[in-house]
Amino acid sequence: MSIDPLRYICEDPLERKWAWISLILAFVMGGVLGFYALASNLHPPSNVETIDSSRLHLSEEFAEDNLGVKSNADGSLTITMVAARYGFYPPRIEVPVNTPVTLRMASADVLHGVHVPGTNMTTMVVPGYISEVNTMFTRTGEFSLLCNEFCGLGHDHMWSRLVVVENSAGGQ
Amino acid sequence: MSQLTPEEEEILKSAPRGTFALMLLLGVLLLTGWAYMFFAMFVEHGPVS
Repeated sequence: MSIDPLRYICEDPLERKWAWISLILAFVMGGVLGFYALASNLHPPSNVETIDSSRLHLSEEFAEDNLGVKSNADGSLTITMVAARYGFYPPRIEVPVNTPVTLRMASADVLHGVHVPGTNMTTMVVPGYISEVNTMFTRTGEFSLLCNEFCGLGHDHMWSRLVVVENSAGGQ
Repeated sequence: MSQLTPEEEEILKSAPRGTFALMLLLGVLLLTGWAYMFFAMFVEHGPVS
């Protein structure tokens, strides 16, 4: 009979069995996550672009008139947004379902976060940097964009609306 | 402590099969719940990179 390697740290056979079950679960979960990440070529958002937060309105990309959803030549969309106490601008964006979306955000003041409950979209918006996330919304409906980094007394009221529509309805 | 019957002594000496079964059941439930959260909810919500 083979010798249990856990016998040095645990005498009780029941505890050792439970430890084995826990270890196997951890390895199975880690293995599935690793395989999925490698097979799908996923990696954490790692865009590093700097910008002067106090001059966003003077930059071409984050000037007020240029915010919102833009179509790219390859059919994907780029959403440009500004997070500032206490709101996201533009306050309502509309995108088609199952379309690759690049969200580019900059903060005009302090640290913000953006999270869309019901989707996997989440990122921090750090002053001085442009946050970029690539994603795709797989369900139609109205979603909230919420700030998930405490940014001041109005943090609780900092949100905007994301509307995911059918492809034929287009997006704006 | 009262005197144990031979049947009770036999039970005390035997392997705790009920506990093993409970441990396995908990492990399977945990794995099933995690798989549901990962595949049916997280992956279903689309990729993020």
